Amino acid sequence: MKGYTIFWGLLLIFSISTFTIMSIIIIFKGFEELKDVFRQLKKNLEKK
Amino acid sequence: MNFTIFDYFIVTAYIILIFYSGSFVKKYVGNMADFLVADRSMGFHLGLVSLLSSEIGIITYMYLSEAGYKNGFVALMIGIPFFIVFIFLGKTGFIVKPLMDMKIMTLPELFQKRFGRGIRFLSALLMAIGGIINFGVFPGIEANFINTITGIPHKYVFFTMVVMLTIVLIYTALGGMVSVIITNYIQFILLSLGMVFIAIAGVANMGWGNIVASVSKNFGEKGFNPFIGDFGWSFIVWQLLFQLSVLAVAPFITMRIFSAKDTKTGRKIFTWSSIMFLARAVIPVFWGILALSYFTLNPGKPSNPMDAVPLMILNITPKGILGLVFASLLAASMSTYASYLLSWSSVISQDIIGVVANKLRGGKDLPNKTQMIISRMTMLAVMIFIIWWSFFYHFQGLVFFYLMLSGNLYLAGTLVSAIGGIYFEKKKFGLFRARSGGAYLAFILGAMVVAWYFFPQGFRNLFPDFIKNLYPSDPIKSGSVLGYWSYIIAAGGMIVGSFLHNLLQPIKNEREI
Repeated sequence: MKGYTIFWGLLLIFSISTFTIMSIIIIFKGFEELKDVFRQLKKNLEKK
Repeated sequence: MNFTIFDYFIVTAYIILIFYSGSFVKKYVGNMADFLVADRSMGFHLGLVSLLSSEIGIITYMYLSEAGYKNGFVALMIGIPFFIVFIFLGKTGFIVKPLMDMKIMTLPELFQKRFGRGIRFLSALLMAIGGIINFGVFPGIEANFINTITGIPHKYVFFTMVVMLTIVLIYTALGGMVSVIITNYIQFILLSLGMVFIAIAGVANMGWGNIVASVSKNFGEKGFNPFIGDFGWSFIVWQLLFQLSVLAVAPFITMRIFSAKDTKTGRKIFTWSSIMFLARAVIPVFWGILALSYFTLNPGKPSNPMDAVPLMILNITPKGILGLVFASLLAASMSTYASYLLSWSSVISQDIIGVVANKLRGGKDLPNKTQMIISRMTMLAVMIFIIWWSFFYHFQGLVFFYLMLSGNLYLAGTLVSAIGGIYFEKKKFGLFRARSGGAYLAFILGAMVVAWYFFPQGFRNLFPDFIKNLYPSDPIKSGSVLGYWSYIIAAGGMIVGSFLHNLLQPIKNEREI
């Protein structure tokens, strides 16, 4: 049972830490891409 | 009420921010491609944010934490099939690459190209029925959660849900996918913060040693060892199959991927989603384990397991922060509603109403403006239906099985027909070349297997014995058996139907298909 407890503990640490790190990265880089989306849509509107 | 003035301020500010940012983008939406897939302009990071926001809602927290609360650590196994299937789809491009290369907006469009207009109509009809009755239980379950955390009296819960859904409806109907992307972004910041905060606050409050001891006390070795309970190999195999169909062909996922700016970006989103979706399952299941531990260590265990997690959150969160945590939960929920409203209304407006209108107009599509009006009206109709269904339907079994099997109504036929339409449509397959006869049988038979689960007992009794004997005697307790068989029967239907179709009506030249 000890082996399983260690496995679940490691899975939790891995999941929570990678989720936190990835979330920070995608929030910051996603903001730049959000601006690109609006630039693209604005360009489309101007063409029309 | 459980909120302080500061909590109310945070929640109100959040709702105003979301409503404003969601509705001001209307001016950027020029045509149906902008409305449904944001002109395919989404990059990798934003795509990942949007996919996660739409797939994390209070409903996700509820059914996953229920599994953790009732089973202990073994329920963390739920995250593993997501991890495997996302990596598989991202790395191999199985199903998703050809779909993205074709630049289609909805999956039924593929069926029209491969099997004709009738299959597009049938697939969309089953998707709409299965999808909306699946979506239809969200408001009722979530209302209960909101009620427990906020302390809003039960009599006002219905009203609360209507207000929340109306806000979502307005900004989604105005800005379509563009609104969904921007609001998903804001909502993701809050929901990721809330998810991690609750997990860490729970461990800090109870201590890892007490959490392990509580699972041991309640379940013994069964709470730790997946091979002696319900989460062993058979669960993994069934879930791999189910997740493959959800992640590759369900419209609320594919719409996200079709909005990516190119195929490479779409596949990259899939690959990296593996880690994020592992956490998306593991963290809420862990909340359930935390709630189990909390009520093992403290008095006041709720009689309804669905109340355990919201009560635990209420008890471990300091008052001033409760508003922020609640806004994060609300954010998770609103982003899911927005995405689901958009994807189901697009299936109805594009693939059901659009197909009929095209036929009536002699092969001409409706003008863009009319399509958008129909899409917005459909959203309103879907919203009214889910509110009604949510308060009308009474669960007979686990929420988890209801959600899986309502999806299975269309997923088995869709997965099999997509594989047939993409990989078995060449002449070299001879009599086994995928044809519309096979697709019809795959959809109808796949749906018939799981439809049994939703029939009331009195209605099931009306069927003759030879039909009743084909099904498990207690379908409510045999959800996984029905789910598993729906794929096998749908695949059988595709093979037999295509074989007969090829035999009776061979293709004389390629243009016939």
